[in-house]
Amino acid sequence: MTGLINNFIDFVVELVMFVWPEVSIEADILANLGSYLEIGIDILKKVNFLVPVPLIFQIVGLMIVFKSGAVVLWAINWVIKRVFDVIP
Amino acid sequence: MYRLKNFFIRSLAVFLSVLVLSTSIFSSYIGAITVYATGADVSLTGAFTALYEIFLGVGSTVLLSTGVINDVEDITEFDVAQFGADFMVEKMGLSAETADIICDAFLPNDPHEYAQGYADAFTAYENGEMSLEELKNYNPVNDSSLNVYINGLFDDLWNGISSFVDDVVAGSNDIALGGYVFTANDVGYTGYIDSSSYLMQITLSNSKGEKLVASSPIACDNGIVRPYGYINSSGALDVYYMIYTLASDGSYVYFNTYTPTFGGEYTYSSGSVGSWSSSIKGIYVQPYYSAGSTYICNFPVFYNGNGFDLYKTSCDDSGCINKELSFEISDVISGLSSSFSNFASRGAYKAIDLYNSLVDTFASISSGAISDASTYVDSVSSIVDAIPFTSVSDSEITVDPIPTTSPIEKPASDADLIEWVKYIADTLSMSWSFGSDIPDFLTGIGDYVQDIPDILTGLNDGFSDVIEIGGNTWEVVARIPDIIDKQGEATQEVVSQGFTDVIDIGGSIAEKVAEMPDIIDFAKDGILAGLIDLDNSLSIPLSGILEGINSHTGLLEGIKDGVLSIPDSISSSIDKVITDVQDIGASIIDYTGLLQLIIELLKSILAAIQDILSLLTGWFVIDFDAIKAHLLLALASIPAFDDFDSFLAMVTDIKGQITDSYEYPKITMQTPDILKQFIKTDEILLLDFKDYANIFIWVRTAMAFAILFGFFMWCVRDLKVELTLN
Repeated sequence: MTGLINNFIDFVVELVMFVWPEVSIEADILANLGSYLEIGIDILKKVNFLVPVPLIFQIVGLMIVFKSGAVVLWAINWVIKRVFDVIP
Repeated sequence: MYRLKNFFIRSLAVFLSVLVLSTSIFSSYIGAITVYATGADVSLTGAFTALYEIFLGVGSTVLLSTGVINDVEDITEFDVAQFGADFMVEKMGLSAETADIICDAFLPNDPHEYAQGYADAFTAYENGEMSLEELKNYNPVNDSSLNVYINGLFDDLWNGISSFVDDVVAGSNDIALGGYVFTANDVGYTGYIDSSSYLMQITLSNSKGEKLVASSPIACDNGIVRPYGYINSSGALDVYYMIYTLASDGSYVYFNTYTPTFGGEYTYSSGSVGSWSSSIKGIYVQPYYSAGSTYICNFPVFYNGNGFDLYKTSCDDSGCINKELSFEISDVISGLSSSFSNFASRGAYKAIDLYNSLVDTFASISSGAISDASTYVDSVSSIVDAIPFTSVSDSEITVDPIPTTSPIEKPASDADLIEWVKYIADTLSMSWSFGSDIPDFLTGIGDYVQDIPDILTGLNDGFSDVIEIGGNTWEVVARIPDIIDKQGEATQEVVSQGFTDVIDIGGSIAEKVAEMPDIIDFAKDGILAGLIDLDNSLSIPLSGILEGINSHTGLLEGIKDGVLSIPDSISSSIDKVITDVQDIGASIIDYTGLLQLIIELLKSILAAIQDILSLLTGWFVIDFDAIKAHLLLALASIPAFDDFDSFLAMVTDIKGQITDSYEYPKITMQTPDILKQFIKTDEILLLDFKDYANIFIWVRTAMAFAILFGFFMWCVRDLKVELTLN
């Protein structure tokens, strides 16, 4: 399983490096990326007193985990089905 | 006061020994460039003997005065002398080269670190840097002690003697012990001249009766050197020194004769012999007169000058009176008998170990561990190999019990076992033929072990009967329940009666067998008690032990003849029962094979299931650390993510900032200029949400609940959980 996930990571990396067209980002944008984030964080910190931001992050994370699990489960299921197809 | 005085006397003895050595024999011996002959007897005479005595004195003085050893008798004379020599070499600060010359000439090949360590320690003790107690406990090497050191020497000498015995059996006659070369039979000579030290080494070869034109003469530039001698008209021995040259046909031609100083050095000027330059500066010839009124020299001796002339002209060596003389092994070893006395006892112990191993085998057979006579040999040899060697001083020493290069052939069958044991016993007794009581003891052991194979064979015969009958009985007993179920009442009666008989007979056999180990242990204990006595003192009359062993021999034979023989009546009744029951049992169909097949199939199916489960279990294990490491490695390969680590650190930092410990914002405005004279602060607080904190907490909690509820509903819908009420 660990190997499978690692292979998926490798696949994504290869996709980014060799399949996707090259995307160039302006140097000043990259340089200011940190300050953009800081501004966003400041806004989130202000909002935090009214909206439970950490809870939202946790829920979103859980949903991603559930969806990923479903994908993995489907993949395993698929493998098992193919194995039983082979068995006469 | 007495102890102090004693110490001063001993210190004075050490000091005087050092002084005498450094100014007299020792220094002159070191300084002299001497051509000397080495040999079995020569080496124990003359300067060597003197050195030996002095080393012995120094060694014993040092060992006793420091209290390292309380009784020199505990270790061999030779080792005390060696320790003394090493100590002197280090104490006098001799150069390594000089020390090597001494060691090559006299000492076994052994590093001098121990003696050096002791010399340093002794100096430290003299300077007050070390207490007497520390000196006693001093170990030159951390994991070593003097006892271990000396035991190591024992091992060296033991191995040397062992290989000597091997070589003698294999046809060679040389033994190399340290700087000595002993030879069993010889009048031939070989040698060489060391060009760097001008040292002529003459060693005795094993070419018994070989003529002077031997295949390995002493070659020195263009000449060949031979000492020789003959009895002169007045009956004394004249010694001469002869030089040969190599003739064109390959033979050696007599060239010239010189007369060395008898028993001393002979020096001649350089260039006096042909083109032979100053290669040899002197010769030391040492005759030796043995107790048998016969000359045993390291050179040939003739009846008279005519005999030698005959030899020179025609190579007729009939005039040589010592060409057939030989050194017996016992003669060679008796030269060091005092040094080797411990080895005699070690030989005895080896024989004892061998004997004990046979006793163990005997016990193994009696207990059923060995049921096949053809495995006796392997078990005996493995037991011998496993026996730790016990020295006289009771310290454990590991030695090769039987040399691996031993010519002793292991027997191919049990019929050869007796020959094998005899051969080992003979070899051992040959090795230690110099002792007084030991040979008799060994012979006694050898005589006794001859009987053991017979006893073993008898025991095996008896026990193989028992095992066979026992096996048959079990076979039948295992079928009895089935048989009884399927047969009629009359047959059941017969079978049950037979069964009872079998059990009775088996019980009686078991009782007899149970008596066996006690009897064997009794015999073993008796013999071992004798050996423990031997351990305590070798002076115990060994004939008494022999008598004890002989009496136990009778006892063991009694066991063989009496206890193990099964009465004919019992044996025949067992056979009858077995035959009867087997006839009945033969009619029952045997499903064993089919059942076995089914069981094997089931086992293989279960094993396959097990394999699949273990495979799946392993597959579902996720190593998150490995994945994280792999992800970081993969991202590092993307140029745009070069700085991913710092990005990750920033995200972590942000994650830490957004927590539930929120702050309520305040709405403020800059103080207008018109109000600045009334309000001193820069900002005016318009609204502080903290005043409405309770309301906001309520709103926030409600929102959190809504989010969680939505998530729960999403889970229910997405995972398709059906809620039903019955």
